[in-house]
Amino acid sequence: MKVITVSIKRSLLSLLFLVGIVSSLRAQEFKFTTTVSSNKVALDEPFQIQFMLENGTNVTQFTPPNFNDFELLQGPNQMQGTSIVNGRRSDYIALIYLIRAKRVGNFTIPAAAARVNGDVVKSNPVTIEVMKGNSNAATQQQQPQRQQVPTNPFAGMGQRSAPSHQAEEMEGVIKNGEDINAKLKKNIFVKVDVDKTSLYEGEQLTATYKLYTRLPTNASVTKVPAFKGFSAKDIELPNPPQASEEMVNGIPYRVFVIRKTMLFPMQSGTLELDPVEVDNHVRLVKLVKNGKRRDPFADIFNDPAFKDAFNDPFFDDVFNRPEVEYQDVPYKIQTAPVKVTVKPLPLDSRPASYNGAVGKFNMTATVDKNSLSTDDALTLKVTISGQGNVNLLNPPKVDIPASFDKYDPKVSDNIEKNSNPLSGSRTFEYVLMPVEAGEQTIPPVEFSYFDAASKTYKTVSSRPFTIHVTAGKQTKRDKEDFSLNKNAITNNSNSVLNWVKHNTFFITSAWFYLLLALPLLLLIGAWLYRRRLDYQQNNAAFLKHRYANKVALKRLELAARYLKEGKDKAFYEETSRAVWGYLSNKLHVPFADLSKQLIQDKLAQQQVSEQYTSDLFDLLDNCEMALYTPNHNNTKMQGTYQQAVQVISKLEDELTKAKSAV
Amino acid sequence: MKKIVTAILLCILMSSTRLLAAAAPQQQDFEKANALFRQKQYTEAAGIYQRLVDEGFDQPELLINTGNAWYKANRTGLAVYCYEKALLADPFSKAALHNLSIANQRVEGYVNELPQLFFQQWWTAIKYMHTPDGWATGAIIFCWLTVAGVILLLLRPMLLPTVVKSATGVLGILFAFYLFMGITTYVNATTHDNGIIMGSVVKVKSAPDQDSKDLFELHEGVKVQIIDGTSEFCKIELPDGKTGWMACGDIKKL
Repeated sequence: MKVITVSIKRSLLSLLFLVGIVSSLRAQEFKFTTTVSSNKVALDEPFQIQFMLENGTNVTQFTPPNFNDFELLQGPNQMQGTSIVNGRRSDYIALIYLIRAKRVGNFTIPAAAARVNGDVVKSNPVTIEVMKGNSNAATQQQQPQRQQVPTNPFAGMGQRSAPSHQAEEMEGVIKNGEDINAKLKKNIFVKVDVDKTSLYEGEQLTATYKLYTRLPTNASVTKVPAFKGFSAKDIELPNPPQASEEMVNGIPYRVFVIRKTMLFPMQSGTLELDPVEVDNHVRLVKLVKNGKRRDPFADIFNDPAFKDAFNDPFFDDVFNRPEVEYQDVPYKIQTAPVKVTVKPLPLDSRPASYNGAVGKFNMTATVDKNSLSTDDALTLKVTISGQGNVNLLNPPKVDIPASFDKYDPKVSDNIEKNSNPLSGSRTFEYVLMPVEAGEQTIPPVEFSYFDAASKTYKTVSSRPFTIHVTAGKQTKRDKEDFSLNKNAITNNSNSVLNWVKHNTFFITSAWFYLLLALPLLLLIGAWLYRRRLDYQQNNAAFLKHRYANKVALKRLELAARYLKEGKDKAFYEETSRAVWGYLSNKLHVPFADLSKQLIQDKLAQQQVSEQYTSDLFDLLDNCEMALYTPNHNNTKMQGTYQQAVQVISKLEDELTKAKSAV
Repeated sequence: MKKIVTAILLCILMSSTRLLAAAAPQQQDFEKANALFRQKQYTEAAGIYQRLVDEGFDQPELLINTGNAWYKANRTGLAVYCYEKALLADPFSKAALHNLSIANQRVEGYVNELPQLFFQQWWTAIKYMHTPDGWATGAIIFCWLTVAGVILLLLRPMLLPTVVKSATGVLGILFAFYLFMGITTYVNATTHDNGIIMGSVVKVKSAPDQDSKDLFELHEGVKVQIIDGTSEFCKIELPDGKTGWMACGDIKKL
């Protein structure tokens, strides 16, 4: 903008100068003119169009013409002024537009209209010849004061551009027969500078992309590197770029820094820095031998009457320069890729608290209060400051006891702007909520970093914090059980186990049944044995019973023999024995145990009728009496014998009957 | 003579060391898994433990370790399953009870089981007085003793008949009890109608049919009782009395 106003002033100055002359000739004459800065313009070249009202009184309205084929860039800028030349006063109003042609060709800008003193006046129409771009050296030459309007198409894209510099006029001159490409190659290149090519993971690397030039050029970066495998942080560069001088092979170059980046490798290995690509528009100057002079105002005031005045040598010096031609040459360049070797950090000496910091750091840890209640919260602030990968720091491990509820830390950065190496601080704020009253201790905060300069790990730690916690009003939390192991599973057992499978059961095995069956077999054996014993015993009694009648009859036979022989004592003895023996065998009573009472009971048991029992006892009484008394007659003995046979046979009948009844 | 004795002793020693050597691979696996667990590689550790469990080892320590590993690996269903299995082997294991209660905290929709009544507790205590094999062995021993008493009574009826009779009676009752317990514990150990839900969310249906109405949802780790079933669908009952049908594939039987 400044440039524009300056140029406006300049053009005005010349205009005023002119006006002065004109007004000295035609005093107080009303004029409404259109002037353009150039009748021949390039396609993309902006130019001025000025509408000037001179000595107009009571100007009420101004209507600019239609700029159909032109693009209005700026305006209108209004100017008002008075000039007194040679005692003559003239007032003027100027309206200036900055326009640009849209198409190639001859165009006529129609007249502007203004209302002066109630009358509509018109200015002169102007014809403009629009040519293709870049071949407008001649017109440029005519306009030494033409403003430098930025024509960089990338200006809006935030990329840096190195503007052209008129200073390299000597190098920018192409002599006849010189090869343009060779010249460009020699005089413009880009280079990437790294401050080290071998470094540790996480260590800082500064990469600087520079443009070296000895020619005036309009440069724009078309491809920016991606920095794969790095964490990158750009350093802000002055805008507009400042040039510095650097000697390369004894030749001074102007150096523009395109990009300066701090890189922190995230992985080890060989990493490559991508190239940067720069598009240049180099302005070269061609000397034209023919020093044809042209009057800059000839086109404006096409009036031969004043021509002489401008042919004055004074005007030559001011407005005319040696005739040269400019040429814009596009030229694309890119940097050579740079390889960087990244070493991994040593593993063996790495402390447990290390988590990725590389550089030189200091750590401070503070708590905001040392005494609080369980309703309150506490902030543990850990600040890590220093040089290194500050922007990549991980929160240090803080062993917060279980008596505090810990929340994720709040991270805030304070990185020094444009510091190189990167330095600043990162703050981690841990909010801690005490859940248990009492004296609590927060163990020291430990922070480790790798010092790339000494190639060692370094650890800084804070002091431990003792916090006095009082019980708060909120008692709800106390009911929760925070005792150790209450909410954690028990430890694993690491004992030696007895590796026996329990998928077979003894109860299903054959052995179980075998062992169970074996005693049963024994039992059966024992029982059988017992039965045999019992059988044998029982059998003897049975036989006796069975043959009791026979035995008794045999005995009675013997008694009958004694009867015949007249042996009465022996007869009674034998009869008595026969009856007792019969009873003993029949009733299963041992001979020795026999008594009359027992026999009576037994017989009653066997349901033998009273009559037979009394008959039996009569017989027995008879026998006993006969044994102990003499005087026996044969007939009585005969009767006893008959009685005995009768009793026994009757008892036999009776007992078998009873047995069958049972 | 001395030589023979030493030779026999040597033989016994060698055979015992061979036995220890035979047990070593499992112990090695177990220790490897323990080491993995300590290194917080829980899934890998659980895999090794589970392999031992699948081989048929049911030591409560192993099952608890397996459960711990699954718990740490966030496989709550499997953890609950292992703890429940450990409790089957030893219902009074404090570690298993504690860990199961913690694992159940993660189980969504966990229904607290009613605590056992005093006689149920007694019954459990009696059941676990001996192992099933212990009960069976006891039954054999008491069987022999009873038979010995009976034989004594049969063959020597005159020898302290009252003492022998009452002793034999007591032994007989003990034999019957041990046999009964042996059978009960065997049945207990072999048939399990409880299962653990394995799918993360399982829909319980009103009938054994995929198209039937959804009754409710069960989450991984819930213990259910299987009361009926077809080959594909199982009828389950929850401790709170809810019943329904679900796919048998989502239940891991204890």
